[in-house]
Parts: sequence; structure tokens; C-alpha cells
Amino acid sequence: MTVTPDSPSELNRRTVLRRAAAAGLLAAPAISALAACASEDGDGGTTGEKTEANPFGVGDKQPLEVAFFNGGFGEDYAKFDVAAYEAKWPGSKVDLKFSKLILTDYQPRFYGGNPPDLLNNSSPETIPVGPVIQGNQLRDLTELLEAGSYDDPKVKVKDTLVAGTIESGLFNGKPYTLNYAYSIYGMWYDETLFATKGYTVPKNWDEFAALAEKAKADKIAAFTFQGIHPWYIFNVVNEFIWMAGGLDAFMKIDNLEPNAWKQDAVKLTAERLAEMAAKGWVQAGASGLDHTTTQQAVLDGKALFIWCGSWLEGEMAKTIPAGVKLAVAPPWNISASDKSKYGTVHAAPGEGFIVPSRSKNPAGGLEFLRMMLGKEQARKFAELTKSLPVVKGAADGLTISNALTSASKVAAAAPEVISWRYEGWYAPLVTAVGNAATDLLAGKSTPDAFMAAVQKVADEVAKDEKIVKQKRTA
Amino acid sequence: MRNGRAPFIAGFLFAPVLLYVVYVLIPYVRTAYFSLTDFNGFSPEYGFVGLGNYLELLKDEVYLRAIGHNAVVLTVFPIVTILLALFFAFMLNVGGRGDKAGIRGVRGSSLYKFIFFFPQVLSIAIVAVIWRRVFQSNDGGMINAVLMSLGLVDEEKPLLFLAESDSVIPPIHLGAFTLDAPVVLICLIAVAIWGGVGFYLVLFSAAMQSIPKDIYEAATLDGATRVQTFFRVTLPLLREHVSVAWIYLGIAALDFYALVIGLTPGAGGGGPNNASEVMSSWMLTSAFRSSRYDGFAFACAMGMSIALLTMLLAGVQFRLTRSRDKLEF
Repeated sequence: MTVTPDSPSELNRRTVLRRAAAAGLLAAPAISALAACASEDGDGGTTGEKTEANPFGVGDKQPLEVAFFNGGFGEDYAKFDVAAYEAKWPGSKVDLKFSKLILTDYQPRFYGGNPPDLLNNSSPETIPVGPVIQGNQLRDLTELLEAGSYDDPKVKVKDTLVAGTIESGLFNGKPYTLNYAYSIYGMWYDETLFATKGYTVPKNWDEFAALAEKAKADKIAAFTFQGIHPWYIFNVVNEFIWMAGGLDAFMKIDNLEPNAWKQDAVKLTAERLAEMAAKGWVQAGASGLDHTTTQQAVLDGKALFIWCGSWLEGEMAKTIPAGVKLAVAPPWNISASDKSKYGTVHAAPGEGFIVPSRSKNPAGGLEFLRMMLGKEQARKFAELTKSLPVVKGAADGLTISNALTSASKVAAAAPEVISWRYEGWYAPLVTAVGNAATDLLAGKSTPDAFMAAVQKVADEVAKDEKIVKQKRTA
Repeated sequence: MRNGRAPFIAGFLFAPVLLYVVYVLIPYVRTAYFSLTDFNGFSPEYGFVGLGNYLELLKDEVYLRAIGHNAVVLTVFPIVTILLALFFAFMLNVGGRGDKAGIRGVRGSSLYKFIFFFPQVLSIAIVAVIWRRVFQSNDGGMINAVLMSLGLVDEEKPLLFLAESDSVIPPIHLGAFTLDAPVVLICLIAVAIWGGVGFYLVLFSAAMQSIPKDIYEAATLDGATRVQTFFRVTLPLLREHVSVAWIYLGIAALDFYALVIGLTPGAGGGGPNNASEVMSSWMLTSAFRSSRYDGFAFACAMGMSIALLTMLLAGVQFRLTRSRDKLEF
């Protein structure tokens, strides 16, 4: 599962509609593929010479096909980028496609050996990178990262990106995915409500417990979560484990070490979640509610905190009541002996882009991506989507929204920026954690049952020879 | 004349047969072939692995549990749907009071027919949206709101419905196989029945209308009650239709994909924690969300096993309901 700002949230809600439409949609790429074949002989174009300004040797008048995910970020930034590319390479027609379901629409293209030149691999269902790499169908992006940047050929592309961007797209130690948007995650709340009720944002478990009891007296749930989409609570589990056990805990978890899910940090996390459920601090019925309903509960003052990413404000824009000021807080410490300091923040690049290797114009795909990482494009992305791109300093001086300002502040103050790797490596384990944690918060399980259930899946994944294993080294 | 007929028939058959071959037979054959390989769904290169995928199916606990869920659906859904449809069809056609001459349905029967048939014209996506609101697990959910206002449900402990994994029967474990009937699955069956009754009601209605009225009149003259009329006259004469309905519903019960995807929690549906997973939903999850590099081939093996089970079921049902002597009227 990738970290997609439009969130995996959309999963259930509209999947039926999409599945129904899939049959129809599938036909569209097929037709365009046929069309592409027909015109291929005529104006395929030639590759150009590799120069400093043209590091991949893009030829004049070479057609390019780019496919974007049409989700939380909308279509505007893609259109802006396409116009800029066409201006830079006059005569090279860019075929811009949008999809709401990348996997369904583009799986046949990979299988057919005619993928687009650049693919925005983001949506509730993405092309799994592992199997595609096994068939040598993806371009190693080292070439792009080592190339001179769009604005200044003296500065390499990799040096213009915020820390952690390249690492987030590694598979088997090589960069195949370039994540374009930088999301900051944490506990979101309404500043206005906190001010009027005299609440303060908790820094440790005791403060949280006291706040939760106070809120309970005011008939407000201290916490809620996007129940039917287990990916959100999966993240809360990981943040708590990190607070308690630090990187050490995740070296074990990410590397599937035996009994990684029985270590103390995990036990404490499970106990805290169970405590929240048992003491009635969680919104009633949350485990059966969807993301918009629970997120709205926070906006409506029915719940204090919900875990989410920095896309939250954009996602809920239409239903934010006047006066509500969304802000984000880092996860609080869950015990006095926690290994991580308060302020530690989970932030990660998401919204991946991949360059297929068997397309007609992979050089153009690389060049398009290089251009997107240029200053002008990156800033426009921030303006249009109210989200941060992975390009350093792209949104400096932009005061886009209260939520984003708060997120940037939290990120800047963070003593440590954290992320876990197994999320992109072992899907069954991600599912198991989310499911088991949902059961905990619904009051249907115990910390021991949680640890046993997750450890069982972790062992199965470790044993399964058909799942390619990855190694976390730092 | 005979010479001219073959091309004529072939001309008519060509288009449908072509469509059938391209969209049904070829995919079937390819799925069968992929199920014996380690195909990953993306790369045109793959190797042959024999029956390995099928053997692994027997070890997949979620799949075995999903088969159990389909078995529960197969037991409950067709029977309840047919019984309800028969009852309503009888009431709408011959269940009216016998105080006046003639045999007719209850008052307002055409309106009822319309109401019962209505779910049939809704797309499954709309059905999913409606029922998610009905089952919603807080005071915004229809059922919860009603029960809360009656004081039957605590506002702090709303009923979870689609997020409820508790089984209504004690779970039975046989090795890796589990048979349980979680509340969420029962909710899905209820939605399926709601959506299906109307169609079979119309089917049975049409069949009942073709039964000569004089048979009923004779029965009434002999003093038969409505219940007796139903069991002694109507049901035997509807035997054919009921067996057709039985087979359709049985096949639908082995699918159930759309409802699971549309209504249940989790990525790709089937939640909470696989409590509502059915064979087809788990097949899709296995194809793309399993992290194993040959997930697609494994899912193909699953698909083949579903096809096999469906054909077996249809075969058994055809055999059981094979028509005996037909009554001409």
C-alpha cells in the first residue's frame, strides 16, 4: 500500500462503482493502444543527443504518454506540467491520461508490453512494484537522480529533494519509485474547540488520560479513527510502537525478526489501545464508520483527535464548519520509559511516479519527471494542491492554510522524522496489523490476542518463499 | 432447401458464438493455464509450476473460511428468498379474501408488486450506499437511530452490523477449515434477500397466473383453506419454476462479490478481519494484495476452484430437481 494523500479511504466507498465501470474503462486504453500502433510508423520521432540540458537524450517531436492518478490532488497540476513540457519540447505532443484506478487501467498495458512513458502509480489500488521489477519492466531511476536538475545542471536532482525521498522509493536497494508529495501525519484536532474548552494538547499518556476523562465528562470522545479503513489505525499502532521502542523496535519489525511483535513496545502499544477502548475514550461505533464520518466527528466537536495525513483539510474542505481551525499534533508519549522524545513525527513522501522500461519514449518519461522536480513546477504543485512536494523549499513563503502551516511547524520542530518500511514490502502484515488493531479499539480483543494474531502473520510472511524479502539497515 | 439452411443458421450464430469464445471461453482457458504457472499478472514471462497453487489453496485459512461463508450463504439465501417470494406471490395472486366471487390477490396487490420489484432496478452500487446508511454504526444509522430512540440500544454502544465479526453460530473448526456465520455476513444475506425477492416474486406470479383459475375455484368449493390451497395446488404446479429459481440463487450465493466489496470494511472488502470474506472477494485480494510474486497465478487457481464448485453445485441441483411428469393445462 502506498501513502496516497487521497488516502486509501476511497477503497470501499466507490469501489463498486469503479468495478462496474472497469469493464468499460478497460476498453479505452486498448483502443488508444491500437491507435498508437497505427500512427507509430509515421511520427515515432528520433532520440536526441544527450547533453547537459538534455541528459536523457529526448528527441524533438517525440510523442509522450503520461498517465496521472485523478484523486485528491486533482488534474490541474498535471495539466500545468504537460503544458510546460510541450512548451519546452515544441512539437512533441503529450498524451495526458487520467485514471481513478491505476491498477485496473494499467495492468493490461504492462502485460501487453506497451505501458505509458510515465505513470503516477497512486490510487487505492496501485501497480505492485515487486512483480513488475521481476519482469524488468521498470526503469531504475538512479539515472534521473544523478542527472543535473532542471533549474541548474550543476546541482544534481537528488540534491534538490528533501531527506528521505529517495529511500522511500527503494526496492531491492534501487530507486524505482519517485514519491512526489511530502505528507505529514499525526493527531489532528480543532484548535478552536481546544481554546474554548480550555483543553491542552497532551504530551504524554498521563496528560492524554486526564484530557480524555475531562472530554468524557463534556460528552466528547477523546479519540476516533477511520474504522472501516484499517490503514489509518495501522499507522497509529506504528507511531505508538515507535514512541515506545524507537528505531530498534522497527529494525526488528521491518526485518521480520522472530517475535518482533511480542516485544515490549508492541505490548505497551496494544495495552494502550485496549485501555482507550475499555475506558470509553473512543467514539462509539467508530469501528463501523468510514473516514468522512469520523473525520467529520472531529470537525463537529464530537471527538478530539483523529490520526490522518496533511491532506485532511483538503479532503474535508466542503464540510468544515466556520470557525474550525484544523491543526496537527505529533503523537504523545505512551509511557515514562519511552525511547523517543515527544515531537517525533511521522512524515513520508508519497504519490509515487514510475517510469516503465518497455514504453516507446522512456527518455521522455524521465525528462518529464525531471521537469516536475524543477522549482516552478513544484511550487505550482504546492499552490494548486495545498500540499508539499518533495522538492526542497518549494513552498517557502506560501501561506496556504492553517492546517498546512501547523503541519510544517510540527515537522520543523521534530527531533526525529520516522517511517517504517514493511508497509511497502509485506501487504499481508499491514492488513493483519490494521485488522487486529481495529478489533482492539472495538473492544473485541485483548493485547495478547493482538500480538499473537500479528506475530502469526509475520511468521507466515517470513516463511513464505514466494514473498521477496527486503532488509532495513537504518 | 436443406443446403440453404446451414449458412442461414451459421449466420445467426456467428456473432454470439464469437462473443462467447472471445469473452468467455478464451479467458477460462487462459485462467486454467495461468493457474498452473507462476504468472504475476504483469510480466509476459513466467514458468510452469504444475499443481502447486492448488495444493496451497488447501492451506490458505482465509480461503477455507471464505468457502464456509459461501456455504452459509448457499444454505440461507436461496431458501429464505424462495419462501418469501412464494408467500408474497401467493398472497398477491390468490391470497385475497374469498368473500366475493373469483380468485384474486390481496387489496393493492399491484402496488405491492411494484414495491417488491423496486430493488431489482437499482444498481448494486446504489444498494450498497443505501444499506450502509441503514446499517451505519452510530446514531446516524437508520436502525441504530430507531433503536436508540426506543431506548433499546445504548448510545455509547451502538450495534455494529457490518463491522460486527461475532458469529451467530458457535464457530466450527476442522483442521485449517473454519465454519462461522458472522453478523456482517448475515447482514449481507439480508440485503441480498431484500434485493432478490422482487424478481422471484414476479417470476412466481407469472407462473401462478398461468395456472387455470378453475383449479382454485374447485379447491375453494371443496372447502380448502388458503394454506391448503397453497401446499396442495400452487406449490406442486410451480415445481419447475422453483427449481429454476433454486439454481439461479445457488449460483448467486457462490458469487456475492459485489455486496462484499460494496458494503464491508477493509481494503477490497471482506472485513472486519476477514469476517465477511467470500471466495470471489478473497480471490481478488490474493491476486494483487498478497505480496507474493505469483499472486495472480494463485488467484487463478482459486478462480478455477470456484468455477469447479459452481459447476458441481449446478450439476447436483439439476439432478435433484429433474422434472418428473409434467402437468399440461
